[in-house]
Amino acid sequence: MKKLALALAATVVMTAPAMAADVEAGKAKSVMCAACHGANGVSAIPMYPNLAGQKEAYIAKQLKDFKSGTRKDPVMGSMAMPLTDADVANLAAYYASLK
Amino acid sequence: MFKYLIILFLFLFSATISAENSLVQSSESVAIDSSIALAEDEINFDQAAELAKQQRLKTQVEFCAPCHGKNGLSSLPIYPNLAGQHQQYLLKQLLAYKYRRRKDAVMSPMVSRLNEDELVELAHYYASLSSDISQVEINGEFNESSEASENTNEN
Ligand code: HEC
Ligand code: HEC
Repeated sequence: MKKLALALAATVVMTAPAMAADVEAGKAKSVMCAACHGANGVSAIPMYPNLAGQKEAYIAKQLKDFKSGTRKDPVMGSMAMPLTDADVANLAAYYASLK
Repeated sequence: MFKYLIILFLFLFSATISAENSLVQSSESVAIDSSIALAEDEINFDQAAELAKQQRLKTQVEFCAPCHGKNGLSSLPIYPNLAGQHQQYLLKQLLAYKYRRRKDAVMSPMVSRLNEDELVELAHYYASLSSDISQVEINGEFNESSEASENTNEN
């Protein structure tokens, strides 16, 4: 039973990064976000949300919504504008991976 | 006929006397006890209001739980975690959904029926929860005192 659980956990751990985007690339890109969202995704300013540990799919959706203007925020709109789909996926994976 | 009138008269007469008596009595007792009674009432009122507030918050949190998790940590990728998020940010978003500045077909109806005080309480509650994922299993219950768990992310 324990072995089975271990095997299961191992597959989950191994498949997760395979499906996920490039966390390292996300980390590199996040330098431009750090001023507001904190170096490790924990922001020091109450009006700027923490991103550390947030759901990957949720972060990606928000960035796309900021970019398309579906979610309106003057600051984040201009931050999200230059991001490519790959950037969005990588950033989402990076922030979701943080605690 | 006359007999009935007398009886009625007697009855009314005694009724007024006893009414007057009890009036005098009760106004005396009010005068004596009023200060104490008032203080007690205030305490009970405060406690009752606090309890009602807690109960209301609990009902709402249970309502949000299917999507955002019992402890503000959601189990589905499209639903954001709320635990440990900044209180001011959460309140801003809740108000934005309520007044449709942030449009979402799912979230707007969730909060449009809540008043601003209730949104303040909800923002305060979720901000006070721990964002530590490992806590999900341990305290998956409503947090009675929202101050109880430390907030690792608040500044
Ligand atoms: C100048 C400050 C600033 C910078 C730089 C910035 N952000 Fe933001 N970000 C904000 C603010 C303010 C909000 C909240 C907007 C609102 O109230 O809707 C936000 C919101 C977000 C959200 C939504 C969070 C949620 O819980 O819904 C995401 C995701 C996000 N930012 C990602 C990023 C990424 C990725 C970068 C870097 C490419 C970045 N931000 C750069 C200020 C900033
Ligand atoms: C049916 C599922 C569902 C329920 C129930 C629900 N939500 Fe949501 N919530 C969502 C979704 C989906 C989003 C993301 C919407 C978007 O992309 O803007 C969200 C977003 C949010 C956000 C924004 C988070 C951020 O980081 O910006 C807050 C705050 C929130 N919900 C609070 C609540 C509260 C409080 C309740 C209970 C009164 C509640 N929600 C009930 C689905 C739900």
